[in-house]
Amino acid sequence: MASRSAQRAGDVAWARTPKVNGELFALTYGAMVKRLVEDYTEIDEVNEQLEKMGYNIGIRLVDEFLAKAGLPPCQGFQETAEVIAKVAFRMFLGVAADVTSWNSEATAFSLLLADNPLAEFVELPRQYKTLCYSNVLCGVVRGALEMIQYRVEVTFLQDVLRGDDVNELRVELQEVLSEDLGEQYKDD
Amino acid sequence: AAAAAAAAAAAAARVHSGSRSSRPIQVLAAAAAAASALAAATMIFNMYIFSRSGACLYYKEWHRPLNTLAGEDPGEDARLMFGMLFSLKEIMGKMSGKIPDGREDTQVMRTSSYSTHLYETQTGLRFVLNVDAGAPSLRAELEQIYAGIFVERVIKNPLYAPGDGPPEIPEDFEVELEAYLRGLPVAQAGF
Repeated sequence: MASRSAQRAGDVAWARTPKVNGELFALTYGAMVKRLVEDYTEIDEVNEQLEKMGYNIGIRLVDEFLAKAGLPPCQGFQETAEVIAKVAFRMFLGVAADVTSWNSEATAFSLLLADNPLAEFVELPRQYKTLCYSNVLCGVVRGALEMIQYRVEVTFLQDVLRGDDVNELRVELQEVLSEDLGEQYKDD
Repeated sequence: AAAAAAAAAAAAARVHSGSRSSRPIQVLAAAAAAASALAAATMIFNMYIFSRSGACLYYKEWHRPLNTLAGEDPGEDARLMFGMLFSLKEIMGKMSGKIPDGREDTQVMRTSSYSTHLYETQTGLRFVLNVDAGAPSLRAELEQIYAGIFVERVIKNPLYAPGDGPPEIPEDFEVELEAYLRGLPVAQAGF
């Protein structure tokens, strides 16, 4: 699927989804992060919790996406990346991302997000400079991909809140999962 | 309803069998009668929803006069169905004369007494609906059940944990599913 048609699909999906007030969304998220920072002593733990929350969102969000976007199955990891960036990000966050920096084996890519709606009113104080404020996005991508059989690791490489020019999420494919039947189907 | 439609079809055929020139009309009348018999008699038998790992997330039975698996281990029925679907997917993939990576998508299976309609999502959820033999493909309806009812009522329910095994299916899912199936044109006389 060409990038332009993915873009169009993204615009259509965005037009169709019910909208919530952007400020409310950003402020709610901010309140949640602040709560986590107060509850957990280590910033690394906060980052982990954010990622876990994202994971729980992602495993559900993927079915919502597949149901609402109505796109045909992707033919491989590269197409999946384009669809995530142009259609899914656009549909759920309102802004499409760019897929860049593919590695030579085509198993890792970066998602570049110019605008991050989660961090709209945020400034990170100096003592929280290791906080991955939008780490929830990493979890969402990880959870969603896991449900379509890609086990990935997603990290925040660049964060505008920490002084970089752009937000960059690095997605690295660890394993393509095969059908894993439940306990009841294993031969005793 | 089926008996009445069949009787009407027989009566229509008798009326037209007299005159030779009305042969085409006889064929048409028989076809029309058959079509209405079909629409009237499509019954929904039961439905399964499986997760990717084969756990039966949901099973509902509306009409199953004969259940040869009734006495045994309660999960056996679902396991047999899933096992068959799993093997079917593998075999259909390997037998594919066109698609190289073997991703064939079986839609309907028919026997003389029932038809099984299948839909598998990209997340591995399988929707299986057994209905009367003559029913047209209910694939679009299964997609709608997934997108409009399952995603809305089950997946978005915070108590549902995908991948964990049989979840607590919220009541409003059952209610909506029932209402949707009853509202389908193919199932009008089927409940």
